[in-house]
Amino acid sequence: MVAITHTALPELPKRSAKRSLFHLIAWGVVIALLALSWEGAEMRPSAIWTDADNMAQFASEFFPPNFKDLDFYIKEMIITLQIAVWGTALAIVVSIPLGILCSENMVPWWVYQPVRRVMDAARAINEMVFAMLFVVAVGLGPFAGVLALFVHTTGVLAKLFSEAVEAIEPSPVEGIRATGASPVQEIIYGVIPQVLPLWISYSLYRFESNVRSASVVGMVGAGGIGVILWESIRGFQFPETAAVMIVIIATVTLLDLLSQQLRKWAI
Amino acid sequence: MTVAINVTQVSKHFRSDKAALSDVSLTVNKGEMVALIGASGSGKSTLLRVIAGLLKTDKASSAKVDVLGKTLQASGQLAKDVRQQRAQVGFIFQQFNLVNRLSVLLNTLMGSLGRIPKWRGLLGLFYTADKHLAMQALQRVGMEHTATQRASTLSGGQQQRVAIARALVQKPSIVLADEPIASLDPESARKVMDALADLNKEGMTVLVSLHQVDYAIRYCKRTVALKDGVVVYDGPSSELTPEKLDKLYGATSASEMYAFPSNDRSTSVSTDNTVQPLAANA
Repeated sequence: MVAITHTALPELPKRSAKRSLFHLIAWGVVIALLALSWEGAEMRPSAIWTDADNMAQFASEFFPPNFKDLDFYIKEMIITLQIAVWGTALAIVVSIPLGILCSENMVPWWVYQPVRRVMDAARAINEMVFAMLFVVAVGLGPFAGVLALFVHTTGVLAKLFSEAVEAIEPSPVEGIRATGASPVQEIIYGVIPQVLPLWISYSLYRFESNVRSASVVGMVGAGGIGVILWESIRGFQFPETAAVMIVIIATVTLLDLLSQQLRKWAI
Repeated sequence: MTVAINVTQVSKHFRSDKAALSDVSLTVNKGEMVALIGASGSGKSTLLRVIAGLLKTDKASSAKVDVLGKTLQASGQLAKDVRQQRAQVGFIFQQFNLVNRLSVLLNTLMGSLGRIPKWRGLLGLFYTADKHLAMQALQRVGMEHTATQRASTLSGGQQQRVAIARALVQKPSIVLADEPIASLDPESARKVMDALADLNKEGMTVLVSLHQVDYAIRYCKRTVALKDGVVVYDGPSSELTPEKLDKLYGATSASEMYAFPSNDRSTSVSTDNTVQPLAANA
């Protein structure tokens, strides 16, 4: 073996005092935040032990799951998927122009600031809340769910799309500008080809999330499997509830795997 | 002789106080091939971008840029028809500025965007005649066999030739090239410069910025030298002797402006012994 330390040992780099202090403060803030939230969240960890018997009994009521109406569950699950398909598709179409209008390297501040605020609002309010509003507006049923997903997803996708646009390389766009192209043509030929793989990936990811959300918006009457889930829980039909949940889990898992594969191909 | 490019009293400041261009005036006649030389930061790119209408000059100035007898910008205000004017000027960039994920043919076809109806450009409905023109342009630079490949699959030299083809599809009468060979190996650099020289022989006006003066001497009859945003020389390239360059830029900077060392170049002026010209090993 060759000795590499025949001279004085080089000094190890020291962690600066400023950095250590920063770490200390950061951890302090996190711990203080958790402590302050304890009261408001009514944290009672002991309940996990004291109510253990209750929970065990409750859980046992779900087994064995009752698959008697499986055909019906699958039919409703398909409706849920269809809600997610339309909600996502409408959101993608609208998010393309809105995403461009949210990007600070594409439009002046007096365009992107107001558009961003509107998108913030669409994103801040949960799909469930939108679903309840749209149930009132367009009546019970899947269409209310589609609209709820559409509005919320537009808020999310427009932000994600604009982040991709803000990270593009400006040089190809300048290359197209130099040929005498119009601003919209610069976007179509210079910007979109650069962001397309990311946009596809984001859209597929949102579709996955929307399948999950579509099961939930059903609970407020917006159609699909959520309605069945809510009704069986309310009717204390726990074996049926278990069967519905298994259908949802199986579908979501399958779609996650599929869209993961698709996203790999897109990039 | 008719004037192709006329630049009068152009100044350009970026955010810093230092002027990228100060009071530059320049006239290029039709059919000329002019080299623009200078160290990095001397204002070559800025001047070319100003001529192409990609950059505006300082507002409070009497700056004016005329291209092919029409005003392209004056006092920092672009002309209304700047897009039509850009279409008549081909621009070659140092980093090629192709769209990587699109095919070579589509990249080339984009040269026609400036002169076809807008809606056709938006929908990608290019004319068949332009498609033939694009293939011809690719053939001319020896890249027609790559038409269906993505631009990102090509080497730097190949991408630059595609960029020239894109400029040709514009049917321009002027080509501006901003350090077109700075990122290329000597063999690719020669091909690109040959392509530009061939265009010039057919009557195209070419203004090309170069980092290295020997390319300017070999390919261009006339050279304009910039230093810190000011034109310090405008005349025949043949008169740009090493002594002259030393006087313009100082010995150390001047010695860095040669791509190929040559033995007949005077090295006596070099007082700094730590900077050995490459010629020592040649």
